[in-house]
Amino acid sequence: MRVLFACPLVEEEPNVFSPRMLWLQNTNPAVGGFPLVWSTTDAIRVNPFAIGAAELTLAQLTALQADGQVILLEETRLAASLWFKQFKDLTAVEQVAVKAFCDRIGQPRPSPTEVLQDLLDRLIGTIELKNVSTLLTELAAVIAARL
Amino acid sequence: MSIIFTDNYTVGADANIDAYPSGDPDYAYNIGSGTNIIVSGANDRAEVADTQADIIARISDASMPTGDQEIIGNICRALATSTGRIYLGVRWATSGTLTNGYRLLVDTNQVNEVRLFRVDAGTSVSLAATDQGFPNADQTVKMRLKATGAGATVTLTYQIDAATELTFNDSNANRKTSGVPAVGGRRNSGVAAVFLDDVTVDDLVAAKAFVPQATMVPMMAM
Repeated sequence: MRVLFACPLVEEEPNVFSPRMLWLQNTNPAVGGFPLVWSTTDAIRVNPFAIGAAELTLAQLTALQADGQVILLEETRLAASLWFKQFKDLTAVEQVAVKAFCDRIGQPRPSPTEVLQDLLDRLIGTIELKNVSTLLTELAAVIAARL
Repeated sequence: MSIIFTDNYTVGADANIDAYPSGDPDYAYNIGSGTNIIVSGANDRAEVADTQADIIARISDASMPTGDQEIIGNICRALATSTGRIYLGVRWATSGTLTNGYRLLVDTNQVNEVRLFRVDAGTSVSLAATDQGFPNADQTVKMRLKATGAGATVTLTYQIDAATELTFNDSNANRKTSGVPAVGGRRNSGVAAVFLDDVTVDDLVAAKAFVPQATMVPMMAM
């Protein structure tokens, strides 16, 4: 399944930072490999973070959810309404996680009626010029490049 | 496309890369110093010493492009460990804070072994990582990294051997819009030699078509 994710950066080696999603691939055997792309802040700022897209199995999704530091939104649920679901349509747990994430990175919390695609585009837009559509296009290219 | 620089690292005796070739060096350290990278007289290749830190040497030859650029090289051995690897770089700073640029590496100890980083004032941030099926074993591969664009988006194109070419568009405020190609690596104690050979740099300027000069033909007297 395809997911959108938000996560902090991890200092995998001194002065070398990667999204926690990527770091978990190598450190948690239950997670293992999967294709992913992301936009990342620079690592020097306070609370650096990444927002991206990934293709996971259900087992990997479960393992990542257990980590507790990665916010995951399943595209299958979102795609049913063509990305026009609103923040209030998320589960209570997801809403709490997204609010906490916004607080951590210093971005305004979403209003209950903020459309999810707009929310994600807004958060990615704090990093660079990409948006959700760009990330999903990049993910498709990465998947195609894998053996 | 014009190849404007090639290096097969052929020397008679070991030389520090920032003193090679002797008398008119083509390289300068951005990160590291002295023997961190040597050009081996015995092996005719650039080797990374047991530095236990990331080392980068920009190609300082006067011909280096500072805008669009591509660097290609054969990276060799010790890919099987995360503490021994070779970097190819683009857009590395030539003045001011030298610890800025992009670097590409293959680290088969990682699940997604092809990895692209941007280095901002000495701090590396991972931009992309993909699994292209390289085995977790020492090997030699040809690595290619290209940077184009100097506006709102810098496009990085990279390829390992014949694997699918990948691109990453960097529109972050820290994107690198100028700089020169570079080589580098990292090696920790106990790791077999990591080395680099057969580097070429392309300035991505289309070769001018050959246009023969018109030949003046004297008018014959009528």
